[in-house]
Amino acid sequence: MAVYQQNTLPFAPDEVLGVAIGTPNPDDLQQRHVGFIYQIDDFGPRFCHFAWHYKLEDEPLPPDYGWGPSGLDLVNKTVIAAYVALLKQNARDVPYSIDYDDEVCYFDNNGRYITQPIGRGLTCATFILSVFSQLGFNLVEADTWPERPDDAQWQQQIISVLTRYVLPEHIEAVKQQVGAKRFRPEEVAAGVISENIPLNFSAAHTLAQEILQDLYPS
Amino acid sequence: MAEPASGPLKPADIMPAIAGLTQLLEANRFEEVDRLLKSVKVSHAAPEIMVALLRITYPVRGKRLRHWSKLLRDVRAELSARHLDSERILRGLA
Repeated sequence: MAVYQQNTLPFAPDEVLGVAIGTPNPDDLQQRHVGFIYQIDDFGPRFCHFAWHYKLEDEPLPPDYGWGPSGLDLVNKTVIAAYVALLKQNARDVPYSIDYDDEVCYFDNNGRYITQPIGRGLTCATFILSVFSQLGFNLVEADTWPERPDDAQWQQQIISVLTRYVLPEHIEAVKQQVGAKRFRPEEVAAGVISENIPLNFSAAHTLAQEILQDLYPS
Repeated sequence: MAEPASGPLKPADIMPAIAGLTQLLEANRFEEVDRLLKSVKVSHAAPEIMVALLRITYPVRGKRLRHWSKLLRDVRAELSARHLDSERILRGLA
């Protein structure tokens, strides 16, 4: 198993860091969502995730989400869990956007989002990539990621919804990014749980398929 | 920040250190942070504290913190001396 269902096998009490992945809308299994899972006390695992435009959330882990433990060593898991626990109060005002540049630093040394040119931002998945990058980890080899036609379709869908929430100039700039390579939630989840980071696309894709099998057993 | 290690620390144990470090960085008190890095006694510090110091300051390591690289070298040597996998723990920082 790559990931486990929280409602059948809960995040272990002695785990401190992992990734949670699920489907925010049960009617749309193609739209998946991913975030950090961390545990710092006896009150159960927390789900820290970039939910949407300017919405960084930190809440109890939903029971219908799947989770996988971080593939890092215990020392780093402990450090990152503590860092993520403090994120909510530091990293605010993150815009949503579909492009990701692994050369860009998205957070300053205080963990605060650095304002990017109009139209730039993060997704739930690239939020995770950027936080790990801030701390010196590359989860994936971004230059091995392909541009996929069905990702452009997803990007168009996101833009149609995003239009209702953001300024027109932001959406116009986001439209220019359609066709950009996409780091899917299950691929980034693969990077979090793997012990062999950074993952190239082939390795991430293989593990991502395993994650999807675990989430949606046929 | 350089207290004797007595078993693995939990995330809650190091959150105050991370929060304090973040506040110093937020106030651009880089000289103070650099002095802090210089003052770490790696032979007495918990691995979680040493790694937190290195990783939280990683984005500004080359610009403002003259002692960051030396601390990285010292931590690597100390972790190895404790028979911990220093390459794995410090990956991405070199």
